[in-house]
Amino acid sequence: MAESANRIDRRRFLQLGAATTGFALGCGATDGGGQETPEPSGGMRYRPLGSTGLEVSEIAFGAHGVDNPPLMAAAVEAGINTVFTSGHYQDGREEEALARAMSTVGVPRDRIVIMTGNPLRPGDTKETITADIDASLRRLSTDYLDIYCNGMVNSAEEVVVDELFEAIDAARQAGKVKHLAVTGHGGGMQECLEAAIDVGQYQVLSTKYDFVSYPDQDEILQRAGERGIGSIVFKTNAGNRQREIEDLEAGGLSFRQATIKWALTNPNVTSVALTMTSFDQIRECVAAVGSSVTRSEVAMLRRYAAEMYDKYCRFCRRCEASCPHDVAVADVMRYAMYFRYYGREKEAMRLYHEVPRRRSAAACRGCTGPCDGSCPFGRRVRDGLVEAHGLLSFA
Amino acid sequence: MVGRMGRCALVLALLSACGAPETAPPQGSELALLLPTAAEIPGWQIAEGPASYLPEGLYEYLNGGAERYLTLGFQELLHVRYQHGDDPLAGVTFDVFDMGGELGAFGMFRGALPADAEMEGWCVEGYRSGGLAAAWKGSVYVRGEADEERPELLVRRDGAMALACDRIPGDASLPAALDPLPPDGRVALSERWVASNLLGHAFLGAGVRASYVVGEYEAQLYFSDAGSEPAASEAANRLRGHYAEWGEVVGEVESVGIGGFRFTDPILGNGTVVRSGRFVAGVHGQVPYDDQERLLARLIDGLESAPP
Repeated sequence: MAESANRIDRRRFLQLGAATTGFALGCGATDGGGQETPEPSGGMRYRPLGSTGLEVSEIAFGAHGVDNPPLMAAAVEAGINTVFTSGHYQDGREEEALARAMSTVGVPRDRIVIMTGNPLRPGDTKETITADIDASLRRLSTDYLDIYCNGMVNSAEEVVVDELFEAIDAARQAGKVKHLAVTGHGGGMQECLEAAIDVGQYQVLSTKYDFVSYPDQDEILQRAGERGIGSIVFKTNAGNRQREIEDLEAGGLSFRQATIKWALTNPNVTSVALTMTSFDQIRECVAAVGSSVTRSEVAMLRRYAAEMYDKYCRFCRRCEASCPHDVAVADVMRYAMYFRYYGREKEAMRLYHEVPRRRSAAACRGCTGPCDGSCPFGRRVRDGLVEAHGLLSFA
Repeated sequence: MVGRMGRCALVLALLSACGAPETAPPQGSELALLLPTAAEIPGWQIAEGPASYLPEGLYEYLNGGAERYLTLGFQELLHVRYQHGDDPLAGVTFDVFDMGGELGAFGMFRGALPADAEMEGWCVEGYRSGGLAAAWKGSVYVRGEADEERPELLVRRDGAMALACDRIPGDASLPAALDPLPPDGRVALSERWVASNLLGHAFLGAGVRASYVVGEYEAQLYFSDAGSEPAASEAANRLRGHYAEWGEVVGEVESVGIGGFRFTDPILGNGTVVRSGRFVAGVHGQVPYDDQERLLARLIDGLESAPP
């Protein structure tokens, strides 16, 4: 089983090498690929969003809470033509704020690709979803949405929803919505993305994508691409824990920029969506477009991957199927995280106490640990569980 | 924070005695003290939660909207959904956020304040706007949202807001960080706390801004504490460079502060930037330059009285 985990690790490192350099790099290679000097950015570039007919900027603007028209103007000036928001945030007030900013800046509607949406609620019907779409149109002061998003999905059941598809068909016929997307942040997004591809109703996937997570996501994005589904990705920075690694960005390297470049090396990634709240961030992100990953950046990403790759549980629950004791691995790991990193020792211990004894990690010490071979991220799960049990139970 | 663990145990016992929640409330979360119990809302049930979210998991609940909360110092969210009878669309979503401090709670509240908000006497400040209601006090930001604007849902939402606010300890004053703002001409409820990237500039860091009416015009006044005079000087110089790039620097300012300048910007209009001690301050809008300088002079008086 340990072999299996190693195989996955190696594959990811190989992908990191191949993706960032265009060359097949071995794990230990130090001389392959990447230029040492970054090419000057030639400005924003655009990619076709699957078969939607939309051309979207390689960087998309996460417009959550945007109340700074000059910043919006700078993003547009930099060539960003795609903005994200949601009717869910602040009951749609963030859509209103985006509309105000676009109006102040004077962006022509047909120059901007707007993506917004809502999570589905239990009991939603075609009518309630239609009402949500109409409310977004009203708040955004527009008569059409380029992309409507089924947001915050966590399971295939939330992806394949007939009422949603009926509402979108009707909205499309009325000219209110052009395309349907699915998005989510949870640990089980692979299942959601697969369902979205298979059901044939989605034209866009919006998902987190980075160089240390989701071992099978490259394949998923490729399959989406083959079916004409565009992919807009976010959270490319793999947990954003670069400050925990001493001198990782030494020599003026930008971890954020390198992760954007890495994501854009995948031809199945159309755009990287980022929340940008400063002019510097816009400059930094836009400068990542159109330039290759340097050898130093490859080394930086490798170092981050090596130091962070198996350091934390993603709570994906994949290992739970291999456990002969039915241990609630993800929950136990989460409580251990509360204990270690959030200073919530009492809460963590109480939560652990709530886990039924038969699902606690009490049995892990004497177990052979088949979970070790089933973690797609190569974690030594059993060791983590034994340690967590000690922490959380004073065993 | 909110209360003591002993009280928490009592309230949690009450919550669990009601029998409604299927998911166990987060044992130990002091925010649980603030949640209305099932017994306090007859005819309703707890359909979802209480569920706790910590910073690492906030995206799972708020998606990309989480970033605003995290920037403002978010520590924990307790989410619960109350449902009227068996109708899954007759619900009120109720979220209680520990924002880590009063500036975080105030910043979240004011940053999300809708233009059509109807202010309500909950907590230090509260509002209603359609299906949405929010309030803040101490480090707590409370948010209630009815599925629809039906009277029975809005009444329940308002009741939950009032119950929660009554349980938050602390006084009802605005953050002291606002004290330097001149009171005359200030637009009510326009004050904002920005936790980083004030005006979109990383070098300005955190700061305060507010709207003012001067004559027939409106202006935005702001200040940032750079921490030291050299840092303030550096930040002011970078602002000068920014406005030279995006607009035009049209003159120097001698009458107020140090090293000030006037600029024009295609979106912001006219503006003035000065520094005073460790502070960088500025104003922009259609207000004439002379009036801008008078407004800045009043702000600087307030800043000079600020504690070191």
